[in-house]
Amino acid sequence: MVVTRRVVFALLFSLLVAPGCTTVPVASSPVPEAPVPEPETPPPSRPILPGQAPPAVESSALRSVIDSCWDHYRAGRWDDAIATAERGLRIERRSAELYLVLARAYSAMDERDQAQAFARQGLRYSDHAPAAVGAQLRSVLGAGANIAR
Amino acid sequence: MARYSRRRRTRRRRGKGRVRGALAWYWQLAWYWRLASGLGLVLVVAVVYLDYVVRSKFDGKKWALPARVYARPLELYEGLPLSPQDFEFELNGLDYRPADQLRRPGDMVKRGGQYQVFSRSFQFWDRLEPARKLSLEFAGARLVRLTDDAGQAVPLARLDPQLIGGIFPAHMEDRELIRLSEIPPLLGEALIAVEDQDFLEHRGISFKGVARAAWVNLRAGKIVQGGSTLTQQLVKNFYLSHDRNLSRKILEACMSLLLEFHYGKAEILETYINEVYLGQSGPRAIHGFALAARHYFGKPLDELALPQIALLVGLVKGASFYNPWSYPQRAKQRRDLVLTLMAEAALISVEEKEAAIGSSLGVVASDKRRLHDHPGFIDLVKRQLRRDYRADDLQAAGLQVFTTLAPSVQSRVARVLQRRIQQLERDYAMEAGTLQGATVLTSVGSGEVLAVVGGRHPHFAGFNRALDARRPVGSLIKPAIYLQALSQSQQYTLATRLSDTPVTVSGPDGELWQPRNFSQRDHGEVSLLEALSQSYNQSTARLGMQLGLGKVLETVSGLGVQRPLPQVPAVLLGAAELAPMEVAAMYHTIAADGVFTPLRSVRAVLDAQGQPLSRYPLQVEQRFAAETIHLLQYAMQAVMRTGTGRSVYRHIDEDLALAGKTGTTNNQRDSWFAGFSGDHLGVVWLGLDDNGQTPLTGATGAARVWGDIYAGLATRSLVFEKPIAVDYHWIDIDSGLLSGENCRGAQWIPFVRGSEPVLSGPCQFIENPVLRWFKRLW
Repeated sequence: MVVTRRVVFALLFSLLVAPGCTTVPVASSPVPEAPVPEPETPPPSRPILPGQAPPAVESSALRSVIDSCWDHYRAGRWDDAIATAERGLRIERRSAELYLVLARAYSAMDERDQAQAFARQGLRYSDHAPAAVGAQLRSVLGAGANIAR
Repeated sequence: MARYSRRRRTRRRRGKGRVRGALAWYWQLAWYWRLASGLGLVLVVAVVYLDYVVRSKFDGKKWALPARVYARPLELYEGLPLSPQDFEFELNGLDYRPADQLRRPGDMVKRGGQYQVFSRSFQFWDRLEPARKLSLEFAGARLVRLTDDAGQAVPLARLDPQLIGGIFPAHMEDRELIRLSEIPPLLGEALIAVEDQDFLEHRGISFKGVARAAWVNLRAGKIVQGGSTLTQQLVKNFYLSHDRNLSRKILEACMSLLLEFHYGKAEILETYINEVYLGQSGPRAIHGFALAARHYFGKPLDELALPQIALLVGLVKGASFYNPWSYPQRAKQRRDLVLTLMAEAALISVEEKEAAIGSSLGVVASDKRRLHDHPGFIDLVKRQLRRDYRADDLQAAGLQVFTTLAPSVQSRVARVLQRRIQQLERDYAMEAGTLQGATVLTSVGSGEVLAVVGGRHPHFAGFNRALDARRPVGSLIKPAIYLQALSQSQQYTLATRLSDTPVTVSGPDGELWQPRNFSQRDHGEVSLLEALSQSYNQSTARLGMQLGLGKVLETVSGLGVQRPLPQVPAVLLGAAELAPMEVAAMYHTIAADGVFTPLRSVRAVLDAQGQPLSRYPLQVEQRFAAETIHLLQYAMQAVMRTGTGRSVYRHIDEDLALAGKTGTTNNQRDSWFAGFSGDHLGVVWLGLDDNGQTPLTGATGAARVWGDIYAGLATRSLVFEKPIAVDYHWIDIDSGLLSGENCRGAQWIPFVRGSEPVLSGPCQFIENPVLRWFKRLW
């Protein structure tokens, strides 16, 4: 027990008194001696960090637009569904469900390239969307792939 | 015998003379008859011809209606990034009237930070937006509450769009057609009372009217009334020239009779109300009462009050002579005379007349009535439309064009560019008036162009630099080079070391190209991240040559630049000449996460009856992997945080994540900046029209304009979400090897998964690791 404490204290002591500037080699490879760039700029004022994309804001505005899109879609008014979906994308350009509307509407109009492009775009933003949206986007892509084959 | 013979001869001669006289008389009669017949025939032919002229024009398409160009409608919803100032600006542009309470469409009430608006109904390409009462509340630069008059939340509302211009025929006539049933009855009655009291009785011309006008004018001692009927005035304006001579008056009378013969009074009055010239707005001629109402009072005809109706009726006599902005006193006298005549005709009471005479003219500020405030943007719209429509249709078919222009953004961009250019001229002792500039601002994702300014004088429709000034782009080309490198993730990462020592490249003609850094200093080995963020030329040129010019140009093309660029080494440092709009197309693909979307300025076109003709839908094409774009956006954020674009943050909240790139060309002839937030992409160019040298770099010139624009823009941070196949690692920036958070010089850098370094470099602890460990524990 005493030995263990001594070991721990010794270790702590050595670490505490060791100067902070000690270089600790953590790699066995030789470090290339490169000229140090001259400091022309001040240090970064703020680190650049990846953020969580704010989930597609499911605001009442967006919901009403999405509902309207599906109404048009179900009624076979593809052009209106597309126009309304674009209106929604001006509010939230990362809404996977709106891309799904576009993909389905273009698919219904037999414009496969656009349908596929919007399905792919929707999948990029589908992390925050319900799983069903992602699945439907994949199904549009899959259908396109089948057609392509 | 001889006498007899003489007599006989004389008689014979006399007889012959009589015959000759009779014959002459007969021939004379015949000649007159033929003349009369000829004249009659000519007259008949003339009448038939006039009849044809009168009917064909009146029955056919009466007017060439210019295309009307609208800004994007303002969509209102909770969470909308919009400052109250910009909201007021938009309302002002739409001629909403401040009021103490909402009574009719077009009214607005402001109480503190809260607004109430009675929106106008409008037929859009997709649906009719009804008029409704809305309450709005802002917090900072955001709309936080939107309700109707019952206090119920309104998810989404759309204001009517601002009319921003037209595409006019050569004669520049503009009018807004209106049906007789839509005309305020008082206007029609006042017009008849003042211009033609016998309109309902006469057949086109009125001798009684001429006599009365002469008597009135005699009594007044000046010309107060004209003798022409409304029908004659219409014929004069609609069919004839403005010459004043007898033959033209006869023609006018004939055509008036014919017009009255064929058409009813209502039809003639409706045509008159739409035809009459009522003013001028620059080169644009204002015709008809409906457009005149908007021109003078900024509101539809059915919203005019009595004094305003009287002024419009008064202007019929001479819109230039009674111009209320140029000659307000004269215009008021004319208006008051009309009010008096209206009272005499019992159209209004004496009290109403007195109250109206006591009111001001009520015309809008003269500088508000210009429909040519955005020539740079309208130019872009015309170019897009010319691909799909004939010039005749654009100028005459009365099309309604719905564009993407955001008025508050356009105004801000134009103002900021002008102000900053003047400031730069002063700061750098440049010759005043020489520095030029251009700006393009788009929405990120939709590719919609929100603002275009083609020069320092934004209202001057001259050379549109935003579309036509093709200038070397300098370092703005660099992101394409680094994008190509980063797409080869097994060879290049942001931590890859590049040599920033002098480089020499042989050109195709044997010439040597030896680019130098702007600072004329070498930086030895630098990371790829640093090379881009600090815009080093030598390392970039070396990298570009390693990648191959073909590959780099392929990337430039993939980003959306359609113009073929010269395949020479100098293109790596921006010898390529592009217009700001082309640069915007290129950077939009980067801002939109690698998805190419053609930039567009038109959303939809409707015909004169409001039926959709064409829509310009969103198109997307993913051209670059999300992972590669993430790395590039990281480096372009470094440009803004620590690199050549860092000055932008002097006036912008550091919480706002932005990405961008500066560009400067040889001898500082061009100063560029292109950058984006989560919502907006902006490109700014500054330079001289004669391609002369300036004292400006991208950072000291264009970046300042860009910063000024973004400082006042309601915009959100760049959404910088990490793709699944990207990992962040602490990297020793000097060696490019793995490091740790507590190591001096370590940076947290993204890598496409599997491309991160496997070896670790040295670590100079910033803080004692044990203390740090304990601190973290707490």
